[in-house]
Amino acid sequence: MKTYEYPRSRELLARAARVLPGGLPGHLGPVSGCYMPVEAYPIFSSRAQGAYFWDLDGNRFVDYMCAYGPNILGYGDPDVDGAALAQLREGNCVSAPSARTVELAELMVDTVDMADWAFFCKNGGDTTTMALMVARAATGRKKVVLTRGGYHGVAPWAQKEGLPGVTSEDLANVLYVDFGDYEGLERLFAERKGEIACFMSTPYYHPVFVDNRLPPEGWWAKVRELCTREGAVLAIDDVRCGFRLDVRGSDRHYGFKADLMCFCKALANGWNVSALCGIEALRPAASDLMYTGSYWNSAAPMAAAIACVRKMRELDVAKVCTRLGTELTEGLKAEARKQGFELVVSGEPSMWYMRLAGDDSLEAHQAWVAECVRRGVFFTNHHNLFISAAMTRADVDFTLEAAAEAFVSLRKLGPEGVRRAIAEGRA
Amino acid sequence: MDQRTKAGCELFALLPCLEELPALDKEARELASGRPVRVEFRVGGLGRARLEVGGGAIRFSRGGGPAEIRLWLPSPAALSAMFAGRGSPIPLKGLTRLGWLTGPFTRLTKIMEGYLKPSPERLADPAYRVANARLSLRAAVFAMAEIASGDPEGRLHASRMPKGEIEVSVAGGPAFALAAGEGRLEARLGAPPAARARMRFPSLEAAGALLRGETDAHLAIAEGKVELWGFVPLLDNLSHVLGLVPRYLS
Repeated sequence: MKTYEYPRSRELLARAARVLPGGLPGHLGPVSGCYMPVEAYPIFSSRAQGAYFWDLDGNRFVDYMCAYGPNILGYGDPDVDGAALAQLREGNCVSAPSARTVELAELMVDTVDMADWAFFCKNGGDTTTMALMVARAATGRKKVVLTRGGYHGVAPWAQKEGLPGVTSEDLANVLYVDFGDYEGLERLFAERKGEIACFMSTPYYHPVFVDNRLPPEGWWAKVRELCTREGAVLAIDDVRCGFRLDVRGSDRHYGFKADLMCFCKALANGWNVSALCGIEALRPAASDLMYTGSYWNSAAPMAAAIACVRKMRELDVAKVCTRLGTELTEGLKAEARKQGFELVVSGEPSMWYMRLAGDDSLEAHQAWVAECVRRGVFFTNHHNLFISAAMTRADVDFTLEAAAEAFVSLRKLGPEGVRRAIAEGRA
Repeated sequence: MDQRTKAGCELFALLPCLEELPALDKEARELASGRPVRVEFRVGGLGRARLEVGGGAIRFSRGGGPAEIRLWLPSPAALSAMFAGRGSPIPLKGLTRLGWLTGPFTRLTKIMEGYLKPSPERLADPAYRVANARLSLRAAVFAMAEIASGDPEGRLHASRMPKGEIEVSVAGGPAFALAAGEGRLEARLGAPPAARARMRFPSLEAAGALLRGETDAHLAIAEGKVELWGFVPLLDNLSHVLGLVPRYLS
């Protein structure tokens, strides 16, 4: 297979460096730790369609990052984009919100099992912060319990102490527990009796750099009961998993009912809207909040979300993505075995995490992933990956062919050799 | 800024850089060419270190030992005052050698200071740029170890570092090892035999540009001007410790 080079990405990065901090900041940037070595990856795209994006040099990639989650139906889905464009012609960001706001709220209440109401923002982090505020307003308490290593956006309360711009005061009301450690959570509630407003978690444990973990047996049933008993709100951050495990909510997938659910990413297939859904008892607190944003009632993304949610329901998209993800990951593991490697896959198949076994430094995995990317399969090193419903069996076959070549290269050259080959622009 | 950490950086990160001078600077080579003299620094609340100057070389060692000159500084603040030229150590031994201390030794420290505090005029000289980069990198690596054990933020980042060795190096040399684990970071010369993560510069020029702040660190990574490779949680937390170095070595 041909291996890619990215001269135009590098040229644009040089221009970006003059006007953007770090050239391309944030989680999509090369310093996130997901592009190693950076030379193996495209930096900018020129267009996207279905399961693919093309970079500035015309290289095509089967995209297993799906824009870090939003692309669930395929880029440029005609139904979703058609709805958004039709709405744009009518009006988008207008002083009075459109009927799409109400229609989307009705659809969310009808779709998400736990939802009695919905509130719309722009980003996932808007909804996690709102969830925290609703919990505090409803309970009169200050503390939130998060899981260690969990990610809930970039507001200071959701970050780690010692990171630039984050103070100890920002985190004064944040407590931590390990995901799955029920005894630890129970102990925290006992030690902080009457202080905890909320326990917030993703439905399963999907941080970067470490194997993902599904909930242990009975975890969510016990946590649900504990929160109810202690008068704390159970908030599920479904921003990444939402609609990929069960279109009715990931809490339903794991057999419990949350009090608040945060949605973003797949909600509108890339159009920018997020949603916080809640139970009836929390409606007054949600109504009382001063929480708003200039673009939060924009109608075009809401029209997109309506079309997207309807289509996800029709397709039973979680089943589709799970099936494809299972086929792909089983195929990847088989290709690894042929070259004497073991690929460790964890998490849910529609958004799996993978690494090579026996690779303490992760260098072998980074080298293999880099070789996949250079052959048109867009993985990142240490983040969970995503399936979109636009992917086909042909895409899976292409991916397995690239992965097989990448394993051969890794076996032949070793991680350092692969790195040198990439740096020297060799196939 | 933590005073004890600052003094630790001066004693255990800056002072050892004198070892590099004879190879980089003609005058330093001449100053180090006489009969060996050993100077021990005893710093209250911090620890001891020794320099041996002579025979064309300068050697640093951590801890005390035989010395012709023994200097006492009652506190980390006193050491920092000495480095800033605002204070003097108390000689415990070697009163007859004070002329060497105020003469050749002080001159050696001035030469090193000149390399570590660049001016635009001096940076126009390629040989100076290399020397500045070499010394700055060594100082930064060993300062990270001090910061990780002394500075409150540094300790926090060190506590999050999993066990493993990090190679910080320049293609063709020099190379350093930082051993992380159990909340500590220990620095030594030479690449580790089995690094779990690597931070590698393609040249001393690239390293120097980054350390002098001429290049944005994030951009350098994005452009491949510093290679990062291996166990990212080690590198991620190390980068935060590296971000604290200017606080102590500026």
